[in-house]
Amino acid sequence: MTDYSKVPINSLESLRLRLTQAMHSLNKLNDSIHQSQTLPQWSSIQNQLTVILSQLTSLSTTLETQREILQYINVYPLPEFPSTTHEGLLTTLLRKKNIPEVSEWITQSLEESKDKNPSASDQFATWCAETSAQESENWIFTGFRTKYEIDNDIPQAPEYSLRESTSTNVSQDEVSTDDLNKLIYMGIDPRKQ
Amino acid sequence: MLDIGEALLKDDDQDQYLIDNSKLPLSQLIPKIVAERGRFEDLKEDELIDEILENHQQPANETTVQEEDQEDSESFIKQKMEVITAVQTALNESSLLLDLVSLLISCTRPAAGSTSMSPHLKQHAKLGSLNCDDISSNGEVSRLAEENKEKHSIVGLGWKSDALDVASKRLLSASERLNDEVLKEKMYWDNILETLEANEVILKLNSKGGLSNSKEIGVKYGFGDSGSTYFDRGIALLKKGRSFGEIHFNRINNLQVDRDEKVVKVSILSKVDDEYTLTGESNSRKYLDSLKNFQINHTSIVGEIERARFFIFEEEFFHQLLKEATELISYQVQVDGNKIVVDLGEEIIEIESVLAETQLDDNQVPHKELSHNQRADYITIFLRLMLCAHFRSNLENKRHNPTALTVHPPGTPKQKVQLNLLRPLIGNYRHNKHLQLLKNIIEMLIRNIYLDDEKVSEIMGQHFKLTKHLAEPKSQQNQDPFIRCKTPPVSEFLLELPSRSGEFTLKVIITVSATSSFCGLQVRLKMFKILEKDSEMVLDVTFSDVRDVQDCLSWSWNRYL
Repeated sequence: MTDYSKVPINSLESLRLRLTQAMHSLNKLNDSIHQSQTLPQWSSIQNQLTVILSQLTSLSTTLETQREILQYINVYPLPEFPSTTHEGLLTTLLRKKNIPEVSEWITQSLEESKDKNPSASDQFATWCAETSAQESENWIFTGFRTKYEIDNDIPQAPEYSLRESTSTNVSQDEVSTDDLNKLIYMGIDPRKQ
Repeated sequence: MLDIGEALLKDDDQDQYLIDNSKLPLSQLIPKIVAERGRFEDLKEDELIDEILENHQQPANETTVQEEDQEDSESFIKQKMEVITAVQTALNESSLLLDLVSLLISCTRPAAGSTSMSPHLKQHAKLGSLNCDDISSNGEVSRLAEENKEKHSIVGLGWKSDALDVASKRLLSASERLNDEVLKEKMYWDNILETLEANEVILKLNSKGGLSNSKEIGVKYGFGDSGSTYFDRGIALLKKGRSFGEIHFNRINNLQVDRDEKVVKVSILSKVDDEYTLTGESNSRKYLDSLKNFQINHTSIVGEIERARFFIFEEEFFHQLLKEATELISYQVQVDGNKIVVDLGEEIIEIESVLAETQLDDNQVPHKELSHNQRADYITIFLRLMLCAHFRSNLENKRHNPTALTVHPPGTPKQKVQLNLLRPLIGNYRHNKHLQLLKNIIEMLIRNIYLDDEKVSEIMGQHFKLTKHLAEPKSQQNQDPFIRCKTPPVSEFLLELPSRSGEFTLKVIITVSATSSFCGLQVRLKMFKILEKDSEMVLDVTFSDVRDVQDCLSWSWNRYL
């Protein structure tokens, strides 16, 4: 009977859960991109990307918390594994080396972060997060009044409406269009009426 | 993952990836055409041909556009492939990890492990065929792990600063774009407000010809709501320019008519030595000069609206004049090409629609000082005002309660307001001419009878009276200023002639009226013999020709006086 007691089941189980979720979302994105010649709506792509990013974040958090356990295990095949016929499969599964893209990515990052101070950088990141949150708060508008109007307590923007026609609404000293027409056409003086 | 996001965001701008129309099925193609070009009934073969020809005339531009499109679509496909590769790599890697984890789990929890394993692995590897050991006690391993930990902690720094960099750049460009958008919107809405301040009517319209079926703001610059029945109701779209947000004034009308800016011009030709010579011309410059300011300041939307309104009025004005003129052929009114010729005997009035630009250019149309210039001006003003009066009666007609069905059985055409622009002008001209003619005839006949200049001037001075404007209903006089122009003129001569014997006086009443069409003549002649206590009617006849009246008067006066 093989002794499986060293297998950190709980850590692996939490990892499996996160991985399943991430795989699901990635599959969905893959499908939607392949679906048509054009791309799907940008908003839908962005939504999917956000979901994937949050799942990757939770995956890496899980990895980080389980790190103490996972980094000290050494996986090996048992005789039941068909290592002679499927050696390739085994080596792929047990590969620890990063794929070229990722290792290049890591090298680049290391190159950049060489002379950076970790704590200052963290502070800066926190500041960025705070500032952007605060700014976005400042620029959210609702309703139909401008900031100026709200600050100065101006109730509403002036309403535009058609002015009354002059022929029906004439003050005492003015001559209406009708009266003017009568003067032109019939010589009737509006002042003498 | 960041790579994917970036590549995807780059592609956003190019999501209008070209679709080959000819490959679309008919069920998709038709809605697309409708969305792009509006209803099929509005599509004109001629326009399409013109459009195609236009496209052919610019082959150089066309190819560059095509090349650009090609480049765009190539780079789009390239970037899309990048995205696909990145997603698939991510899928592959996570799938491998999941397989490893699942296989490892399957040693104690075979059911749970097998659910998340890939089919390939399930087929070839037995459940629980992996195991692991704890190697934390190995000193070398712990040392390496510590080293790695330090290395890993700084890997994130580069990525983070990279990400912050990208984010800040993106925020900056977004804010710049937003700023531009705000400026565009401000410009557009400032213009809309300016339009509103100028007391224009704006309304919501379906956008035409655009790709989307969105609503847009339009302006009513014409006279459609002011009683005009012209086919063009004068509605324009206020479109927003894409690059600066400037406002564009786009007229809407279904009929593609000649849209030259024209003004109506009146010329008077008088008969001198049996030949007609030009003696008066209306001056359109006065109107055009007021529009000139708008020409200079072409960006002003209010100016453009004002201009369009002026010219749509002129266009309809001439249209209505032409329409009326065709009905007046029996009264010496001819329509000759684009010119209305009104023959009044000694004078000819010509009304034509001329290009506005030529009127402003002194070299092309020099303005001459002619004796009848002012009259020509008055005629244009009169005709314009009559069109306004016509609009007004149309509006009043609309305001009336609808007539009960029993009064007008269905199918009877709704009574329209008769268009009276030229008729009152010609009618009153002829009426006054007839009055003058009759007065001369009467004077001549009296002279023939009494043969005494003193007596004649006494009669003409004291016993002769001409009353004009009898047709105007007195009660309405205060309501409608146009009533005198809208009713056919009626005048009356009243004449009292003593008989040569002195026994009685002959009272003559001649009523001169125009027919309802303004231009026809109707003369009613009444004669009474007035004795000291008694009076007796001797004559009551109606004529339609002045010569007949002359004959009748001559005969009757010879007989009775």
